[in-house]
Amino acid sequence: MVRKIIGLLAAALVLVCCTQPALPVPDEGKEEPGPGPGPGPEPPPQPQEKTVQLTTAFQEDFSAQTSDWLDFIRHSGRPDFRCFPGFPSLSEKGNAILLLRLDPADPAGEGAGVQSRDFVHFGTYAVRMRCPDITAVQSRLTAVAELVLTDDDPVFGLDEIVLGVRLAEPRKVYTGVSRREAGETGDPAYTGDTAEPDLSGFNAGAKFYVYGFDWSAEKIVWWVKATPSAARTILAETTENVPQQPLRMGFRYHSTSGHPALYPYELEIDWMSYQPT
Amino acid sequence: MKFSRYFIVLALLLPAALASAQDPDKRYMPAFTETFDDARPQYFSGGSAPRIFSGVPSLTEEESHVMLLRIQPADPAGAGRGPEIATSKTTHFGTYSARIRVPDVKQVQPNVGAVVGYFTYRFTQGFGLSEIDFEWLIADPTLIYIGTWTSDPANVNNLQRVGRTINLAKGQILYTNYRSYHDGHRNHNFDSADDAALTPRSIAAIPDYDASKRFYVYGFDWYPDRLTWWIQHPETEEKVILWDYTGSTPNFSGIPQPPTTYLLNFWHTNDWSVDTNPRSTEAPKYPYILEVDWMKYEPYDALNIQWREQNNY
Repeated sequence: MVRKIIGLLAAALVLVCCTQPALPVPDEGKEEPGPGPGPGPEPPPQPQEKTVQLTTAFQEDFSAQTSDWLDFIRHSGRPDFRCFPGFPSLSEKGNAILLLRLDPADPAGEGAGVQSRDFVHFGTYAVRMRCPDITAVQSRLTAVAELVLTDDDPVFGLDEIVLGVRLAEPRKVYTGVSRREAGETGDPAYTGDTAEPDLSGFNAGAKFYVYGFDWSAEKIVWWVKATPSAARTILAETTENVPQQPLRMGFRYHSTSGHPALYPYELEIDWMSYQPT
Repeated sequence: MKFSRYFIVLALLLPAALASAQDPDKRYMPAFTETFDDARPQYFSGGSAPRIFSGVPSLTEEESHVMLLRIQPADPAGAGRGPEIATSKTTHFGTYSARIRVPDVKQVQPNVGAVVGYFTYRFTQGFGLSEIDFEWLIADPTLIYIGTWTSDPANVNNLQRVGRTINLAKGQILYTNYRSYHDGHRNHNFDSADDAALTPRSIAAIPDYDASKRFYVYGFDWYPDRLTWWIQHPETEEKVILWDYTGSTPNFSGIPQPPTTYLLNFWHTNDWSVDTNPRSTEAPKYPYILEVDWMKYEPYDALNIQWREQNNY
């Protein structure tokens, strides 16, 4: 609770805007002074950074029905039974969590999740989660649970940093970055890897783990920990295609094309955190 | 003439007397409705996380708070070896009802062997077994199994089952039968002329009935000489009578007499397959979730007091 109040106060105080103003908007209806004959006017300068509101450090423990930093993704048009903040943990007695459920009726790519209300930038990101153990019941399931930073900006294009678990491969973690230039269409270019953590008995469907990454201007380092106080086990590191612009923090839980969920498997998130550098 | 007048007056007063009598015996549950609005149920106990969760939002219905029962893949096979809740005190003749939704596993594990039991059960030394069942084998949630288990008064360890199995989506009574220890628990159909055992003889279908697709209200009215199982029609809310049993078998009646306990459970069976799928005996491969919105008990206090007096209980 104290943590949440401090975070709320900090968020109210530190509404940081980046250095460059937004693109100048032409004054509609007013005729620009005629430049006369000769070449046209210089195009306006492209901004160097997004003009966005950045959030402050937070750790959302999902003990309440609402969040000061995160929005729960709701799908309009039909009752939504995907997202249950403040739910008692199904596996840790006495702990309140965010329960996410797959909806077998969902099309690929659509599912449960959260997204930060404001933007985030260089810093450390973490989530403590437990995936459902589906290997015995639907071993070919194509569904993922992902901690993600993402934004699709009309000027800066799409950038994404991801750390995820395929539910059918709970002994592995995948990491990667995606990039698509502004104005382009189609799937973004993805570079990433899948690793078996060098962590004794690692199984994302068997217990809670802390998953996270450090994002700086120069590199991204992905890691996993057995407990919040344990040492990090490095999963991957990259210095290429490191996004530079602010993004939004989120979590996605959904089926992908192939073999969608046949049951609303429950995923538990104990907390999510962001510590800017 | 005078006798018949007294009889009429008595007949008019008796139901009121039955209704107004308050059972002072502290061994028994009073009338209650358990709404499972709180983390600790008011009237039931039995288990905790990761199997049982009370006072949580329904996972399938807006605005409802429910109790969840999660069967565990590691649970051994057998009745009562999964999550189970029960009243701490006994219950007896009365109306029992509950609003329940069983898990939908038909796509993910069609051959699962798992039973949802909404029932009463108690074996009392000297009086024998008192069990009344509503059961669903979740491999086919269009079927409902109802019945009782009772003891032979001469030897309470010798048991008998009377039962009926219904496909409610089709309005089809699959069978109404009994079996007892007398001949090695072989099934016997009731005599086709036995109205007391076979009422009603037909049941209108509830279109699209599927115990896993929505909550339904189920209940039974238990009297010393009559047992009526019913479901509340989801549209009209009228009681649809599934079985109105006043019968008997060649051995004994089949209507439980002694007090009992009120329960709900969810367990793995490896030897009882649903009638429509003989392969449905697999252990659950995932912790499927059963939801119960509320459970209610309305005792017939006067009948219960009377029974205890007559049976020195």
